[in-house]
Amino acid sequence: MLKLSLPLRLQLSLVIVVGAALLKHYAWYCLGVYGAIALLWAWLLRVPICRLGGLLGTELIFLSLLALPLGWERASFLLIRSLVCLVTMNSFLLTLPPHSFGIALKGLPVPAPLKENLLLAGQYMEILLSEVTRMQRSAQLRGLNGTTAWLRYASAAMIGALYLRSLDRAERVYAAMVTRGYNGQLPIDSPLRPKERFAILAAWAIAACVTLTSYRI
Amino acid sequence: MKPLTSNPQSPTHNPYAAVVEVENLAYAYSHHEPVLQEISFSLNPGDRVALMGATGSGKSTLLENLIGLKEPQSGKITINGIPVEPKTLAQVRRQIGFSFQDANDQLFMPTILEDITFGPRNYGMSPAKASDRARQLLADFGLETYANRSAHELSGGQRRLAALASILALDPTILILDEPTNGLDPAWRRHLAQVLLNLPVQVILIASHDLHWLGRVTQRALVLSGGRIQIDSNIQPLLEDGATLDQLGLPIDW
Repeated sequence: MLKLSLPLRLQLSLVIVVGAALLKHYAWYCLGVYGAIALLWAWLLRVPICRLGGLLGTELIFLSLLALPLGWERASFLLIRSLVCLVTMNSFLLTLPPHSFGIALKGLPVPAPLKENLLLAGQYMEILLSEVTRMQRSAQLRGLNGTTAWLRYASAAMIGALYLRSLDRAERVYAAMVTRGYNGQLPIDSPLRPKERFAILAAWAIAACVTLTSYRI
Repeated sequence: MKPLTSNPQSPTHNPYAAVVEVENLAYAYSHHEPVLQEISFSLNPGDRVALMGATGSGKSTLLENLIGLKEPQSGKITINGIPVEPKTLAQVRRQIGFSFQDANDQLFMPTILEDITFGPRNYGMSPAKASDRARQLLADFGLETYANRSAHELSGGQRRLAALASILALDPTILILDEPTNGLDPAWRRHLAQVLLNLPVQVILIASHDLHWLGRVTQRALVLSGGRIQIDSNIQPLLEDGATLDQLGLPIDW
């Protein structure tokens, strides 16, 4: 697998996705260029083909249900463009090491407050998922079964408990932050080295050329 | 385990004055009976103190009052001569390292290294210096290979040490730990005890139910019961007095 840092991988994936998304309609040649780039990206990241195929299949079935009513010609372009974007982002996600989503999110080119919220939410998503799993397991071990109404009630109770525990945890995390001098801004490093920044600039320049070319053809 | 790098002395440090002074503290949750009443004690440089009490006796509440997370109804708390008030909280918290019961509450940055540099950078330390300090602490705790990993990849004991490193990075003069051995196996409890015994902080205050472990790391015990401090004495004789501990809801052998 190509040795790129996680924030750089996310940024490059976003370049391909944004560039492809902004293509002019029916710019098949430029879409072909992006398709080749997406496939090259998937190959560089050494994505497991079976998992990628399974994921793409599910996503495309869903998208085709939305796109086909627009007419075959339009739908075909939209679906191929979506395929290019999905290959790119799925390649990134399928090759993300476990528990590294937060590290990758640091590279997002978004305003600091949004980035902070995403980072903290991403970190605690794993804790929430593990709490949900534990609650479900304890319910199943106690023979969770019965009418639909009862199952709905049990699920609602778990969701309510999870909500209250999340509020409680949020207070504790905030307390842990203020006791270490938190002043409203998370000290997030710029995660990219100068070479990486140059690589991203170059990628943006290439994507801009290809996308703008679609408007001139 | 080699000792940690030494921490700078507080500018207000007077080796003969109490580091923590609590006078007639009282605290109650709204519309409920008081949880803490007439709490008075002082902690001096070199003190290693166990805060003991049955579940619900108010240990965590007392600790949260010390760091200003809760405001007492009456009484006074001073930390190195600074009264704990809303306008002095930043100054007070700069001197106290507080470790919460759940290490997950303290490890919220994408990597362990960033969790440890979080505090120093909030107080104006440069990223490079904070990073060096963090790496030194990780090396001291044997966690240097986890610097760029997420907290989710660490075991419970490693997270506890990482959380401790994140507060030691601030060079606190006072260390307060709330149930630090929760979820730790005997090997990790011993490891944590060894770390604490070598720390260059003026005062360590530990709230815990782990009586035997407290006997290893502390010399003095404050026992809370009925919202008051019932005992303030050396810990070893107290741990040998099973009858008294039993009366206070802390059966040591059962």
